[in-house]
Amino acid sequence: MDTQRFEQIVARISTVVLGKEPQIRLALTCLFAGGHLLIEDRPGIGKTTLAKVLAKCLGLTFQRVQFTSDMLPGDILGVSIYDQNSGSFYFHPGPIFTQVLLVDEINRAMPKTQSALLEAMEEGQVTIEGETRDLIPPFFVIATQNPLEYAGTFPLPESQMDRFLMRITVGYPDRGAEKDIIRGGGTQKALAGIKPCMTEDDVIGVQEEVGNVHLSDSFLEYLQNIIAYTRSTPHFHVGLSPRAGIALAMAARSWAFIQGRTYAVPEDLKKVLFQVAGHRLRSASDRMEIPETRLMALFSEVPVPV
Amino acid sequence: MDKRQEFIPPILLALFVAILPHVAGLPLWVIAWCAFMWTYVMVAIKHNRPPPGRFVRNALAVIGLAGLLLTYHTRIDATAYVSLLAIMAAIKPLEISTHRDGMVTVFLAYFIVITSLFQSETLLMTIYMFVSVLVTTAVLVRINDPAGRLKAHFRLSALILAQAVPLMLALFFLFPRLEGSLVGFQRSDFGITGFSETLRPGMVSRLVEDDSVAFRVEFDDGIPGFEQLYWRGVVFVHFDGSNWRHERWLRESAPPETGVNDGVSYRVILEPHRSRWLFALDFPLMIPDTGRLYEDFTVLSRDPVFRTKRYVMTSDLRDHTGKTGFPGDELIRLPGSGNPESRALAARLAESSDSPGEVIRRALDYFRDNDFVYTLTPPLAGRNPVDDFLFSARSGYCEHYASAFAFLMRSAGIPARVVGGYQGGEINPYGNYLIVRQSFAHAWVEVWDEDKGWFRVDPTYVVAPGRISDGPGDGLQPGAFGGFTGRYLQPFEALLRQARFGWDAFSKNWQAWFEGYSVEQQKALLERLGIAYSYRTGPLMLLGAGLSLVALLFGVYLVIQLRGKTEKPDLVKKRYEEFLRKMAHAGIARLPGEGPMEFAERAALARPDLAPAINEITGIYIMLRYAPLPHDPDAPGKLADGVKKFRPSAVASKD
Repeated sequence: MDTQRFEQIVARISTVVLGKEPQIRLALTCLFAGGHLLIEDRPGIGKTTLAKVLAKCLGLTFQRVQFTSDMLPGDILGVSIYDQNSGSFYFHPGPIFTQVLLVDEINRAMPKTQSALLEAMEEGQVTIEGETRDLIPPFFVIATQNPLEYAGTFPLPESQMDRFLMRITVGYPDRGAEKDIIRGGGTQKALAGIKPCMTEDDVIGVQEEVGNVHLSDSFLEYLQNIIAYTRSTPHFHVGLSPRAGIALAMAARSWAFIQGRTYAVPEDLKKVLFQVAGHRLRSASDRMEIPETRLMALFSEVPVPV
Repeated sequence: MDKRQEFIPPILLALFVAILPHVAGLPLWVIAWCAFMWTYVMVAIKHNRPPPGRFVRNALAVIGLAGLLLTYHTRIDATAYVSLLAIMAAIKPLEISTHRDGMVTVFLAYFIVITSLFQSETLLMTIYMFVSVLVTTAVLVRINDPAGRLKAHFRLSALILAQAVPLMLALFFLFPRLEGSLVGFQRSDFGITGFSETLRPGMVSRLVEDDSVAFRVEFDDGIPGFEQLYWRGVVFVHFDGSNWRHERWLRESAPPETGVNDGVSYRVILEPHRSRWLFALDFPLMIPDTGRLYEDFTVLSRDPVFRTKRYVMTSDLRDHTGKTGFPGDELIRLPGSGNPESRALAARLAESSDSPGEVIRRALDYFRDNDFVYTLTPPLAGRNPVDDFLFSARSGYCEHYASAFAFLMRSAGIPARVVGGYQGGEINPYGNYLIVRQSFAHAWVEVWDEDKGWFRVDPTYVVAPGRISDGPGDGLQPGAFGGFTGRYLQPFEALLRQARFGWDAFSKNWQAWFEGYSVEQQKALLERLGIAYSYRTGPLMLLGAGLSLVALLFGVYLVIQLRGKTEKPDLVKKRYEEFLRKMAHAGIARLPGEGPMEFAERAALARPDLAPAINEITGIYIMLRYAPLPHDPDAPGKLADGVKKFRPSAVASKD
């Protein structure tokens, strides 16, 4: 895949999600890196539309689950049902047996149900009633959630948040784009007309190529400077984990790849830094998340090795 | 990937450059063989044809060897050896398929380059060999880095060569010099002329048109007059009626007792002539360490002179040796019969004279008074060559005069012998030294007298005095020298002569310092350094010292290696920091958290006039810092250049 092809994909998704190209790029970066994506914003902004169009565009099998407060793990993983004719149990697979799982409003379900996703997201397998079943790769979870201050939500535990490679926000559309959205009266028709931009093989190939993007010693030095900064300075409640370090490297690789490069530079890391690190870091003073501008200002103190 | 397409063209280039100096010397079929094989290989790889199979290759090798055997039989000399290398070099490219094959073939090319020394050691050849090694090394670099740029390969090759020069000089001065020929092979014998052990009529005159240099001489205190410059080479004693032959069994002797202690001192730079003669002015007093003086006052080198030889001598320039004992009947012996008229003439001269001195004078008068002609083209002699010369033809070159005169002397009972060598010389105004060419070859007579000992009589001088005072061309009958070229080249003659002298002076210095660097010079150098050097054990000592030095250096290298790599200075970092300093000086400082791209973008926006340079430097820097290996080998150089040339003014130029 080259940058031209990538731009085509971005353009096609933009016909549905208007005026949100940077977010589309970041979302694709996350998926090409083989990571799970969390889209967070207020209701009505177009999170679900973005998630759906991404899922559709990747050309993979697709399932959607709307999380609610009364949802149970079995509703996602599947259950064994007694068949009266044969007199035995047979497994009825849940929606998780797919390649792209769109989890809408993930923070509306109870933590118990949220945790049902953990094993699937980390290991690509599920264990149901003592039996482990593999999921077919590539397996992505694209989840959407409302910000925590909204009523009727259960905040995701930190361990769950860490499973998402990147978290992006969508934000209000600009005036021109919003005009088009309102005039169109909704995205359902556009969404229905969209065709897959990639195939399963394409996705696997891209993931492989992203994995081959070169990380030089200088790059890794910068990455470690960043991690060390989160651990050694007093701004953060807890520093970034080694898993976060891996996540940063993968995301930077993916960004470098869509720029058409075979090696990552510090700028690639900076582009994805907030999306990868933002949901993993809390302020030391109030244990709250740190806004993007503030976080990036802090990170600008980290020296790039010459 | 097929290595053939990558490897073969550069390797063929290296082989071609290496073989080129030998083209004139190799048998024609060997040249054709090389040309055919190489052309075939080029065509084959162009059309992607597979290489010939094992059977064909073996058959070619056998045919090549058989050809060599037919050409040379068992005469293994330098050309045979080079021919073998050439034949193998021609078929080796047929089987190159791996990297290793390529390397082996390049080493073969190096080997062939060395063999150029069989041809000559002149300045030109040395320069050519340097070029050859440069090309071959570049090819070696190229087959190890096929993707790189040719220019970079040559640059690296030149660098390696430059680094090798100190080692080369050290080896040149200190590696034990050996007398004799290189690695046991005799150098090929084209174009080497000079004296042999027999003086035949026509032998000296054959040399007259040979312009090549026999030797060059530098005198310590001015060049003596030409009529004193008799360069003694070989003494002919035995006469068989037409030819004079050298005495093989000679005893060593002390220098003649001329009564003179400090003669004329001079340095001779002798061209290789494959014999042992060392030419010396009459009469030698002091001779070089590696030479020996014999009873006939000729000087012979211990070994045949296969390489340019430089030696210092002192001679007494008087024309006689001083009192010596009667040389023996051998010196008045003549064949039992033949040349009766000459014998009769000698008898008449002896009868009517009171002393040997008068016999000599009257014999010379005979030449002077009978219209003898000095010419290169005398009529062919019959059964009695001396009679024919003295009484009917009366024309000839110096060897005829010398031979006839010596015959007359012996017939009259006076000991006499013929001396072969060179007479005179040509002064090179550039450098003020004497050039003695083959064309100065000469033959004269030495006669024994009770009081004076051996003394020189040159009958040619009587006939053609100009020959002695002005050089070999003078006094010759017209037609002897090429009048045609002379006439047409006249306007350029002065210029040509000047150029020729200039070049000769240049090559003389080269020879004196490089080719003529021999055991004696090495000994002198070492002794100046305070190291005693003997000819017998010296080479072994030097070799041992050299080997210990190499072992020591290798040991030091190993220690450094084992200690772990010494911290290599990060040049990329240094260059980029220099760039950042220059930018800061121009008012745009990089922030610590700024990546190179961000900085370049910001800087280019602030200073559009510098944008191209900034982007170029940043691009190379990012490539070197972040891209996977291997990097473009030129990139560090380009970065250094770019940063060096980058000179931002403090304020953007206003458009």
